[in-house]
Amino acid sequence: MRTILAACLLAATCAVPVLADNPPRKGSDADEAFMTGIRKLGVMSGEAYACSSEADQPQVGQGAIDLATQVSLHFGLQAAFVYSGSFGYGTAHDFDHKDCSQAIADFKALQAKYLGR
Amino acid sequence: MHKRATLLFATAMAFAGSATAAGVAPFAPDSVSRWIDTVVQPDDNGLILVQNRGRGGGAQRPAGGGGQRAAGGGNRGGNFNSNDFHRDAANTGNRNVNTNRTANVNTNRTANVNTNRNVNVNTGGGCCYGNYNSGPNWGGVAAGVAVGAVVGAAANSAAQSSTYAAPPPTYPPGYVEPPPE
Repeated sequence: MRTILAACLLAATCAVPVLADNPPRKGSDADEAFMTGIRKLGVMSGEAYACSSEADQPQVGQGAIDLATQVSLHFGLQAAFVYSGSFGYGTAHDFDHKDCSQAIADFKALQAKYLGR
Repeated sequence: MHKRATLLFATAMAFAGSATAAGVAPFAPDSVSRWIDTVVQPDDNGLILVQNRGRGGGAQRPAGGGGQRAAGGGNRGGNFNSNDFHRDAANTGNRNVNTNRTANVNTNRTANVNTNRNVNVNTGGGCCYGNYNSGPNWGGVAAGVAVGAVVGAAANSAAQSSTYAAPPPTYPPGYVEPPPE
C-alpha cells in the first residue's frame, strides 16, 4: 500500500509542475513586434550587402546566411524565411545610399554580437 | 508483483506527461531520479528510463536543441543569445518614426510665405539597429505574386517572365557544390 501511495505521489510530483509551466512563447509569428524587427534586420542586412564592395559582399552574404541559420534554429523556419526574404528585398530596393555607412556599421554590430566575429 | 506493476505504470505515466509537455522544466528532480534508481533494480526489464528525452523536443528550440545544434554546426553561430536577439529585434520592430511635413503657403497681395516643417521622431523601446524599412508586407507580396502570374500567363511561360529580377549571386563563389556529372 505504501508503494502505491509513493508511486502516485511521484506521478503527481512530476506531472503537475510540467503542466503548469507553459509560458507564452516568444519569437513566434504571433509576436508582431518581433517579426517586424526581423524584417527590418533583414532589410538592414540586405542594404549592407548592397552597400558593400564586391570584395566584401561574400562576407556579408555569408554573415546573413549564418544569421538566418541561427534565426531558424532559435525561432523557427518562418522567422528565418521572413529574415531571408527581407534580406533579398534590402539588396534590391531603392534606398538612400548616403545611409550606407550606417547600414554597414549596424550589420557589423549585429554580426559581432550574435556571430562573434 | 502487483506492487511492482503499479509502480511501473505510475512512473511511466509521470514520464510520459513530461515528455509531451511544452515546458522547460527539468525532466525530474535529481532526488527523484536517484530514488528511482534505488527502487528499480538494474535487471528489471519492465522499465526503460527515458530521462532527458524531452530536451530535444520541438517546443524547446530556443533553449535546448537549437543552441546545441548551433554550437555543433561548424561554430558559425558563435555566441548567439536568443533572448538578446529577441529583445533587440522586438525593439527594432517597435521603433516608430513619424514624419510630418506641413507646408503652408499663404499668398496674398503682400506675398507672405510661411513654411512650417515639423519632423517628429518617436523612438520607442531603445532600438539598437537604427530605423530601417520593414520591407513589403504580405499583402504586397501577394499582389506581386498575382502580377507575376498574369505576366507569366501572357508570356505563356512563367519561367521566362521578366517581372522578377535575378537573385543575387551565390556567395562565396563556389559555395554550392555542382552536382556530379
